[in-house]
Amino acid sequence: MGYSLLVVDDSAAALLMYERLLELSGIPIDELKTASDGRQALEVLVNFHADLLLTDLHMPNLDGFQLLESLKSDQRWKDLPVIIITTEGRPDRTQRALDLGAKAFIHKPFTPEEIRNLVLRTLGAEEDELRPVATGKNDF
Amino acid sequence: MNLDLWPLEKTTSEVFERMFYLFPLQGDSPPPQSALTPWRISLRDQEKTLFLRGVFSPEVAKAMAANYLGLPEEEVTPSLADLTLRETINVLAGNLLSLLAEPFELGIPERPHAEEPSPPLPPLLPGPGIFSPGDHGIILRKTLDRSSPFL
Repeated sequence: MGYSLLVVDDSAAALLMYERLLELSGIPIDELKTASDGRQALEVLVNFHADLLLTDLHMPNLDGFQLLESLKSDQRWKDLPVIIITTEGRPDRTQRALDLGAKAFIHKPFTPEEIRNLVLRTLGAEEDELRPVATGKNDF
Repeated sequence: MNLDLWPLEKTTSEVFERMFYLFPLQGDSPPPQSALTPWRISLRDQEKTLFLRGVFSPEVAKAMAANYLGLPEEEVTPSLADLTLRETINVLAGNLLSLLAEPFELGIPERPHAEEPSPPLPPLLPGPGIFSPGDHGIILRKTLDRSSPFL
């Protein structure tokens, strides 16, 4: 049995890359959906049960912070775990997202192994599932 | 306004190594202006707006996209290369912010407006004045070492 993931980013290239990285990571995934901003993510969630949401912070329309606020204030999604994908390592933004209910952060660029371990830990996977995966250009 | 050069050099090296398996080196001549593909992103605080501008030749853009997306170069379309450049300038700027003392807010990657004149080429790196106030941007005038044993 795999997981259902929703990945949110306004960069189409980033979404393509996330799909590649998640595929390489070996995370058992049943379904992977994407959205280009927070507003679209909320629309997707209406008809899609996600086990985990990964989102960029910096997006037009509804950004990552606003998406978190919307999720946490809605009974349907308040328990949906959220991982923030960000290019910035600024503590103030990190803390703000954690205060809004984000479970974890990952800093771009990242490797398949890094995303695998973070996703599985966030989903409560057992330690033996957190095995290393190969990374590098030749693995693509 | 001049800022230290090292944050940009460090960011560029780290991002290019991790995203593209490519190793930026200092170039000795700029690529031809006609073949450049620019993207820019703003860094704003209450007093000023700076722009980080990435300028890439089509050949370099294709190599970056191939490595970033895990595709053979022949499968990289101009659209995919362009999307990769947009993401590159976004990641570069975000990582750069982490090293700057000033609390800038990051904008959304964008194309410079067509009516805007091209910014003057800055001195070759390393050199002064890679940051300028207003819309003068930055050009990362570095070459990519495609002979690296890591490729």
